Amino acid sequence: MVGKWIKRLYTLIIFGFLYAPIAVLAVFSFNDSKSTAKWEGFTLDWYQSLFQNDYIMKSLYYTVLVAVVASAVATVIGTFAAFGIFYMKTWKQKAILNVNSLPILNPDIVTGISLMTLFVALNMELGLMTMIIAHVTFCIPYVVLSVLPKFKQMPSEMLEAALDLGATPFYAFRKVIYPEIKPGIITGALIAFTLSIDDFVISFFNTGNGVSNLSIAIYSMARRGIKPEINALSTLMFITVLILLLVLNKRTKIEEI
Amino acid sequence: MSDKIVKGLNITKEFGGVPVVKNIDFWVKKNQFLTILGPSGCGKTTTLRMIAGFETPTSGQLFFEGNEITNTPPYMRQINTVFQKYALFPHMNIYENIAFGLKIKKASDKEIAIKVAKMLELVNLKGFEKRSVNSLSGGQQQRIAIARALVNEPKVLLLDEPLGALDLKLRKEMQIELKNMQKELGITFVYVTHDQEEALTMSDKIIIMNQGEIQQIGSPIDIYNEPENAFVADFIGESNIFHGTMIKDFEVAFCDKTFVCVDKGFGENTPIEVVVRPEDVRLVPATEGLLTGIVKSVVFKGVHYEMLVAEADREWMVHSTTMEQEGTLVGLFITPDDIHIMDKEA
Repeated sequence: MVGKWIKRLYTLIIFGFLYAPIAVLAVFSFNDSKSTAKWEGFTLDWYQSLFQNDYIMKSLYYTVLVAVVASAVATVIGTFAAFGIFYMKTWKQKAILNVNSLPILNPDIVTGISLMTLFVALNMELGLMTMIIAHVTFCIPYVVLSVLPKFKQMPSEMLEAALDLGATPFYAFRKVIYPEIKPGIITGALIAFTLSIDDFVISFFNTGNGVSNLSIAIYSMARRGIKPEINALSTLMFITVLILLLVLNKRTKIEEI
Repeated sequence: MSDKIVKGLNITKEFGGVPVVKNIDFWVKKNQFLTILGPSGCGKTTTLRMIAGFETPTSGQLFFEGNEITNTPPYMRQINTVFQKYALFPHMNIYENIAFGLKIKKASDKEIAIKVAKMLELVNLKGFEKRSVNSLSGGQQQRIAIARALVNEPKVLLLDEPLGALDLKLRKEMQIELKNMQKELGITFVYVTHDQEEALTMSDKIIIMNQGEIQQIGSPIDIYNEPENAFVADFIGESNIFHGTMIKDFEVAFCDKTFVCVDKGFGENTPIEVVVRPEDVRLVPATEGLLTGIVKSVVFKGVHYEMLVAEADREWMVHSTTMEQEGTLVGLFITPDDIHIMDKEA
């Protein structure tokens, strides 16, 4: 009986630590005062001024643009990569999978700086293009990892059966393979989209020419002091990512059934 | 050569440097039911996959109706395959599965509907058009897989252990059905199995493979009665195999005795191996036997009894419809016809 209550309290404390900062952030985004310490009443002013702030709106535009383009490109490349990896011989498959998971384990800052070094070495001007390429790069491994299990779940000899019946490899992919792995592709795309919206470190090193996404915008605004506008923006980003995560979780559950 | 629809010349296939099929020559005649028989890992499935086009030979050439197809992709071959695990498309219903090949060939909707209906009738699954793949039993799925392949009117149908996943009774039924289909449709079948009984029941011709090499090619009767070596004799049904010496034509020595036989052309005093089928050995009273032994064990097998008889330091397996008690002294009797002589394996 007592044990049960201790367990509950323990869980509560953990969730408290995890979510208290976000809760505080969200609450103060509705605070009718510039203060981030004292509650002065409810207001939506900060949200209003947020949407009137050109800098933030432009960052939002870049964030969405980069996320959409990068996740789309990464999904296509990652899906075909998984296709290739699946039909490889065992030891080659293992080797490629290890190479694939390297960027996932690699610290973001290393990925970010190495990409920047590469772009500079190639004489590419840092800006929207380099940011998109960087995002595509770190999204691909996640797409591969979410699509590959779908290939493995596929009944054996599916591709061969289609080729045998006269389908070209491309037709076989479109009509037979794609419907089987579609859930994995959508999950992969959602993960890529979430990661792209979420990213700060890699974006920070690989952009220029006044192109900044929301996380960079928040960072540069925060350097000049925390304003409740930032709270409002952070709250909105948190909610967006939360919704994406909920969708992802729900998808995984449906697939498991 | 015109009636040889598929021909393989010096075919070798290696995987990572390890040869799986070693320099084999074979051909399939039109309208023939050919079975490639052998234990698992003997290269039979690899051979079939090369005919289908899923694997390319490391060396050698493949011909289809006289044209080389060694490097032709599977979708350009007039050959269809029935897979061991059916490989039906799970997101399509039965109709769409069977119609898959016809749609690629741009057949009209009406033509597709007629042909699919005809196929479903052929495999006894009329009215299954709208059913999903997962709602079907293993046997039904295999019938659909056969229909999906046959609807394309292939010149050659390849079957890779298609009945392996079915239970014994269903397997026997399907064996007969498949054989009837092959006769009715006049399509060449190339069938891969490790089940010797299945091979004997259905085939016009059998290729026996072991360790990537062809051991014997012949009709079921030839292979059963005149196995060319001990592997074939052992693989096709149970056998008594003894070392012996061919003294001269029509005379052979084994089991410390000399017998009259019907074989010749092995030379004089040549070491050979002798095969005697268990059902050819007759048990007689000890005084009338050519050899004598003691019954060591008796197992009832349904139609016959399987008995092991100890003769000197050897064991004879005997199949008989009458039973002798364990421990009985019996005589073994064989006629010259029952003695099969084989070259000794290197």
